[in-house]
Amino acid sequence: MEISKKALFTCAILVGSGCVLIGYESFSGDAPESALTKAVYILQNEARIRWYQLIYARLNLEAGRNKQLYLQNCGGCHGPDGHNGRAANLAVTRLLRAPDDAALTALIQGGIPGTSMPAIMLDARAAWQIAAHVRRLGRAPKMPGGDSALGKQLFETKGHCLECHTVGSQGATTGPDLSAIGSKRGVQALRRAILNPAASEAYQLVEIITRGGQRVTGFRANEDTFSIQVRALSGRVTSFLKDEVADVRIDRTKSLMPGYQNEFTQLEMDNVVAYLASLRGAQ
Amino acid sequence: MPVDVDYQRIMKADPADWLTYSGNYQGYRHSALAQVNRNNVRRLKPVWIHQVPSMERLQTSPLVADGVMYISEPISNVTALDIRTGRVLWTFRRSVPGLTIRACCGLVNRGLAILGDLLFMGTIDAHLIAVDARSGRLRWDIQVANHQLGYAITSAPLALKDKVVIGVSGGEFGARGFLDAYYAKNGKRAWRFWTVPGPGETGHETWSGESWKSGAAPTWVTGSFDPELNLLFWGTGNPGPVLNGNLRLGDNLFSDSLLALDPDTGERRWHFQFTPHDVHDWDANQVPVLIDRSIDSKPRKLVVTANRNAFYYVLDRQSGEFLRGVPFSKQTWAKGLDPKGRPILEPNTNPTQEGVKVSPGVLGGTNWWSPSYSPQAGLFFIAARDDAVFYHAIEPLPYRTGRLFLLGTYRAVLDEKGKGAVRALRPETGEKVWEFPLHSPPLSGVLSTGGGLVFGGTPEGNFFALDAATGKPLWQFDTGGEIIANPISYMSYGRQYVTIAAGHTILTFAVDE
Repeated sequence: MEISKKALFTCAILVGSGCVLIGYESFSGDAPESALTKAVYILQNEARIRWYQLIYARLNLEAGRNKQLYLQNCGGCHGPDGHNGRAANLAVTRLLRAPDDAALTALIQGGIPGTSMPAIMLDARAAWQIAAHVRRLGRAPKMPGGDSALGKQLFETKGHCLECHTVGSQGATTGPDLSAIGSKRGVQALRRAILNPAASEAYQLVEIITRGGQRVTGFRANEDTFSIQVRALSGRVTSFLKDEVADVRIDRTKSLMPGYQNEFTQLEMDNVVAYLASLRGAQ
Repeated sequence: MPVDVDYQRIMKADPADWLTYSGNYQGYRHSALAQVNRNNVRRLKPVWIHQVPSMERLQTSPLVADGVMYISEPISNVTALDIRTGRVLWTFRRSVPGLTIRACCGLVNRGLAILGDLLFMGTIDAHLIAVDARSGRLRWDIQVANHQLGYAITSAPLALKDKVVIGVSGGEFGARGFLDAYYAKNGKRAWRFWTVPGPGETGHETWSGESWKSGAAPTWVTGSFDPELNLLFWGTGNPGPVLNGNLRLGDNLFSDSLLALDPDTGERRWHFQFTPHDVHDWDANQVPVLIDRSIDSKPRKLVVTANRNAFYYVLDRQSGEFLRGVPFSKQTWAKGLDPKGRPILEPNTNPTQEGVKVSPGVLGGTNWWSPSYSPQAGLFFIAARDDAVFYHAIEPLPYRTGRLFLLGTYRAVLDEKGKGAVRALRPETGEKVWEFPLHSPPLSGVLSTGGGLVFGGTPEGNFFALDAATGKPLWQFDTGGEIIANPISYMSYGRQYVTIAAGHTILTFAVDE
């Protein structure tokens, strides 16, 4: 019996849809999955992703609801319009950690471990709706006011920032690398970090007083209930057991970085912040 | 030797074994063994490691019977290990559905039950299974609830008499909570107790409108049992929706409560509610601890618990009468408890759109992990959290079956670092006797031993031993993995072992010979 190409094609579509329509698939605890089971699982997941992309992202359905979900779950840190908040600017065309919509949704639900971005307890559908709104914000990108070229000059000259920080291939490694700081922090956080710097976890200053009376100072590389690891300015790490030293003094509020309250004018601050906000890592 | 763990053996709780989730029916998580003690714990060393073939979070607490260790492994598997070497004897692998699972907090399982020659486990898709302890073959597999309605099972069952008692999760999905008992030999249901009363049932009037239908109040931590009084004690969790109380006016019984049930019929003898009309997700899903003590020179049968809401409670376990209640960790939500044990609320602690900062945080002053009671030290030990979060409410949305039903969110307080401690409390008063500070708020429970030790873990991976009398640290080991489980101890081949799940491993320690 001859099988026409059209019939074959229709068959394929039907089989494909049939697989997708299987409402219940399973995978074994940790035995190797059969190829078919794996294929069905992947197909279903892919179908679900395409469906959500189509419905929420491309067709812009439920735009009002998407915005509401965003405001409730994200607006507090990222700002009602995705910029001007403490957290990363979302009103940009490209998000560093979310190259595609699936990654963005995974990031929304799972957070970014080790940062202030928490896992948001939402089901897949709500996460997609938020992702759709974030992409919408990115289609009308907003950068802070201020002249970033002038800001770069101030950063490199009056601010002396490269004496401690790195941008691209320039600068020093005493303080954090700022090459992608615009992707990680919003304008509020950047402004505060310059005016009134508080040390982030890896840059907290710690002073160890040994039993012999010696003082060892440096950055807190890591810590647990029983030990603390100190990184000197030279980069050398020393590990201390807390019960073998006389005192461990951590000022979690103090930073080695000076505050720039009296160094920059308001206009200069705006320009420096604009420059930092433009630093988005390797393109 | 055939596997035969009958009910009498579990009641007797020979310290060589660990035959039920908490070690004994009274919820002590205590080992009477004293071979490892203050004088030699410095020489405690790892003797074997079992690496679990899964990257899901490992929260299991093992059982040990006659030289074999039984663990639940992610996602819903059962494995038997030789306790001397950690060698796998058999693994039962159970298929679980993929995309349709409703689990709020990871595809986890906290442990097994054993009775006769059968092991029992609750699965992530809300089934209860019985597996032959000798061979790992499935004996029966029954559905406890339809997981697509928002149910899952993560807790260890409790085996007593001829039945297996099992609770459910689903508090984040508005799934109406219940506690079930099944006949061990065939999996037929013996009884069900709904934790949210339906129309005509006592307590129904504490739910406005139809809110009882999505009332939650899940039963997701293993309870305790008093064989003499023939009473089963089980905690219940948050009302649904989790963070917004406007849709469910009233006290919302029996959410955030301790239930005392008849284990043969499931009938309620009494209840005590810790947090009426909860809007902070402060589940009362903790292991109740049953002790006998004198209060005002009169001997009394008590049930004590350090609750997620940061208060420690002492109740009479025959009547449910409230006797004492004091904070055991940082809290800013209540001025105290009234003479009936009802909280006297501070103003302005309900979640708002802008967010309100409250202690304890959403993970509570403590959580699901086990406390410990040492009859030897006469002390109650708890891994406590001192932190806060911003609680946010959002506008009410309609309940949808099987969907998350939080109506709120919470945000970390970024410039305040949370802390924690292992605290020793006088059991009849809650008075703090000592505390051992932890670098960060804990996520794991404690074990006390006859050797005068308290074992615990940290999220950074330290597994440590403290002097039970003073809280002084005597030993610690860097496991390298987050510890989010409870330790056990047992003996075989003349040696005392201590085991903890850390990261993705089961680690067993013994004193260097």
